[in-house]
Amino acid sequence: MKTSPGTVSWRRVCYGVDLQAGAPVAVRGERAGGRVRLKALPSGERPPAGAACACAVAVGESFTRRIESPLASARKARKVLPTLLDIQLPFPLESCVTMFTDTPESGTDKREALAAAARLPNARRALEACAAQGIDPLALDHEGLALWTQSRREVPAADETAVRVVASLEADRAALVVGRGARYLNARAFRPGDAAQALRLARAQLDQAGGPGAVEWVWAGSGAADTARLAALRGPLEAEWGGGPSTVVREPGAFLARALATRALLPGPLRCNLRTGPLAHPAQERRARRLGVTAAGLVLAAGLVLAGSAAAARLIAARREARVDHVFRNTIDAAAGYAVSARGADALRVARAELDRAAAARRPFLAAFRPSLADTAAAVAATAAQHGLTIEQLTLTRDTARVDGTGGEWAACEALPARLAALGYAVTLDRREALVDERIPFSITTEGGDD
Amino acid sequence: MTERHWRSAVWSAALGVLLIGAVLGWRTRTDLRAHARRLERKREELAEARALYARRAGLEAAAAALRALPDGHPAPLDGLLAAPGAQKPDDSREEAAAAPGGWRVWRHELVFRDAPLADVMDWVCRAEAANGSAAGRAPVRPPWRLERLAFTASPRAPGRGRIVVALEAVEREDAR
Repeated sequence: MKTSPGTVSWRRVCYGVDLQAGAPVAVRGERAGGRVRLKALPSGERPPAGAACACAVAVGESFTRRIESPLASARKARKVLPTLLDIQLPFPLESCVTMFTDTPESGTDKREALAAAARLPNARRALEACAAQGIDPLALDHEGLALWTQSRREVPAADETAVRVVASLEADRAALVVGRGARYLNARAFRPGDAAQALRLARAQLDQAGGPGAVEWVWAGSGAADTARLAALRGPLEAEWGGGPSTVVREPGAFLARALATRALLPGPLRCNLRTGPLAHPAQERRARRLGVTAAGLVLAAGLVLAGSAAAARLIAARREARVDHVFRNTIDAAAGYAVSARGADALRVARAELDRAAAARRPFLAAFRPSLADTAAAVAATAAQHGLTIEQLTLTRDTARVDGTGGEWAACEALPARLAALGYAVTLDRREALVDERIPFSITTEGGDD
Repeated sequence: MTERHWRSAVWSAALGVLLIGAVLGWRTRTDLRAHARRLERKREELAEARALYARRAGLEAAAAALRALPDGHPAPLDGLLAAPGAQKPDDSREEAAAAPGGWRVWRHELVFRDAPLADVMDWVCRAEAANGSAAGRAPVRPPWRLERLAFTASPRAPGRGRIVVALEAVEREDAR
């Protein structure tokens, strides 16, 4: 589930509660598979104790402002937004609870954000009204934004460029929310039943919306179900800005409660929760603290895993090396015949020298099991006979060989050194000028030897 | 300690451990590369040590095999030279030297001033084979082995000439 500031997306069930003149209208919202199932509670029934609830600050008790930041970076823009809002307000920002909605990419080098805010006494009054009904809301939404996004959700726009006015008529309050396409523009409260004030406000708001043109009307609130009250307001307003579609939402009395439940559970644009700063809900604070501790725990665990794996890798490497060292020591001691104190290449040198000494002393023992030198002599004689070579002098030991003789042809002399090389002797052949009988004298000696 | 201080302390500790882990991980990565190179060198040395050990084992095995023979002294050369058809050497010289493990090495050098090479080599082969073994039976005594052959051809008759052969055999000292 994607989280969105202003939602209580970590809860699956949330009740939207609209306190209408002290008679709460509640709607149970349950999130399932990215959708919200809504069910209105019977009239006068309150949400169960301990359930997550979302209420709203009335339009007349709160305000919204569009702020334009000169910074293109969203992160940087977010930092300067409070200051920019503070400049616009006639009272200090510290006396308000504020929330800035998303700052979408505008394609320019500026960022725009919508600030929703309420003065602290007003927000406190809203919470006290909730408390009087036994409700401690997890989210305190902005009524105007809630009406606007829910109207977009429930009444699809016939023309995305048209101005839309959402008129909310409750027993104790009324409001006009104006926007164009998907863009929320402003919200104004007026006295319930005061059509003249509504008309004045609508003129001012629609002027701000960029001229009248086609206007879509959406009627909501318990008053919208009262035909006479609806007609008293609808008549003059639609007479001046008629021509566009005019829709009364289904179950208009529970419209705001549906909006609050939906907005609390689903991410989306213009989400808002004014329970921040001094009004933050203890559960949210606990959650923030828990998230902080969890995050710190994860960082700590990551550090421990890193350190642990590094230590384990070193340990494994050291044990592997120690095992090789151990086997090497045993092998080299066995090869030398005694415990060699030197290590590594030095130990090899010592063992090799010792082994050479032992091999020299025991050469006759090994010779008893090696092929006979007589076989070598027989092979030399057979090769000489096969290639017409005459041997004048032959000296053979196990390591050295010397043959002097003559051959009938230059190339034939090469047969004997090839045979000796095959028998393991490293020999060189030396041929000289042909003699008077045209035979080629040759001499074969072991390389480096003089035998 | 306020909650803010506590949170800050937890985060400092977590980030500190993460930093230590990261530094350790990085250093371990570098060290393990050096370790892999060192281990490769040690494995090469171990392979060389094993080759040396195999050589030592060959020496020991040869000595053990000779020690296990029932008769510790080689066949008498005089008897072999007296056999019918054997060439008689014109000169001979024998010497003995002590060898490790209670053994003695006998070396006989026989000089034939003018003899057929093929006959002398036949006799050498018979002497080498006179170790008490027969068809299907293991040798019972240390063999004679030709260790040096020097032949100088006679200009008058092919295949004949001056021949010097050196034969060697080991003998257990307690066998005499």
